[in-house]
Amino acid sequence: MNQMPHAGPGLWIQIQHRFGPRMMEWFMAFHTAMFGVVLLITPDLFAQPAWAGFRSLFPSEASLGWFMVLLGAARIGGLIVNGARKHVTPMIRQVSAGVGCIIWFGIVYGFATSGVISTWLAIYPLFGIGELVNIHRAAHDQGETRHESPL
Amino acid sequence: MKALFDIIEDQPLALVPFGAVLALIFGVRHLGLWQGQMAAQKPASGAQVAAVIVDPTALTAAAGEVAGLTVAVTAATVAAGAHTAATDRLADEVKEGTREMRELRIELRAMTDKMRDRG
Repeated sequence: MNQMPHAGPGLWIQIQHRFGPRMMEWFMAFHTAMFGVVLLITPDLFAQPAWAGFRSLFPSEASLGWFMVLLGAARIGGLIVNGARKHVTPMIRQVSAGVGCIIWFGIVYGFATSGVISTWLAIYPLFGIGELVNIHRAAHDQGETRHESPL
Repeated sequence: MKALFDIIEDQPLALVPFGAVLALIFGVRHLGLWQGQMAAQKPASGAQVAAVIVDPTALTAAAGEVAGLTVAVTAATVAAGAHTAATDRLADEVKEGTREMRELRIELRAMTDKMRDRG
């Protein structure tokens, strides 16, 4: 019975209650989705020199854009599930933060191989490190649960 | 999948940072798990305090109980003070009665002696 997820206003209250500790994960999810949206709405972004590295990694900017939008949406969905369930789901958070970490460091790799130094150097590496912090926090939660659980 | 192999074929060096990031992810995860287990083994007093802060209902109820207890203890202290004062007064009365009885006994003895002398 305790495993039943929250619904209605209870779901919103529970998500708000857990928003503080999960704030960085929510922001990372929106960053991912917005990154994709910007790629989709901006024509010929890959033609710019700073994006040269991405041309060899992705066939088109639309494919990277949709990939990021879907990934961001999936992560937002995961965070809603995490907020809805009475018991936290650190595995979902770890997997989504792990994928996010690969994505952000992948973006760093794309920019780095373009050979153009710009403000990306001050942004995306820190996003990757932020995802590592998220993984650590989620794993810490799971470690505490493991100790409490007899299994 | 073919696109992934194409990337690896075109940029074999990309595998190095990819592997390093994967190693970092798993390393940080295991560190977090280990630290979480260690933290859970410590006394949970901090966690209980945090739980009370998160849900202040129990704290409010406990504060109400303490206030009620304080009123009860104050009333009991006042009653005990009144009881002590009454006991003090009673002891004084008993002492006064004892003194009067002693004086009465002395007077009775004196009267008895006087009557005996008169024959």
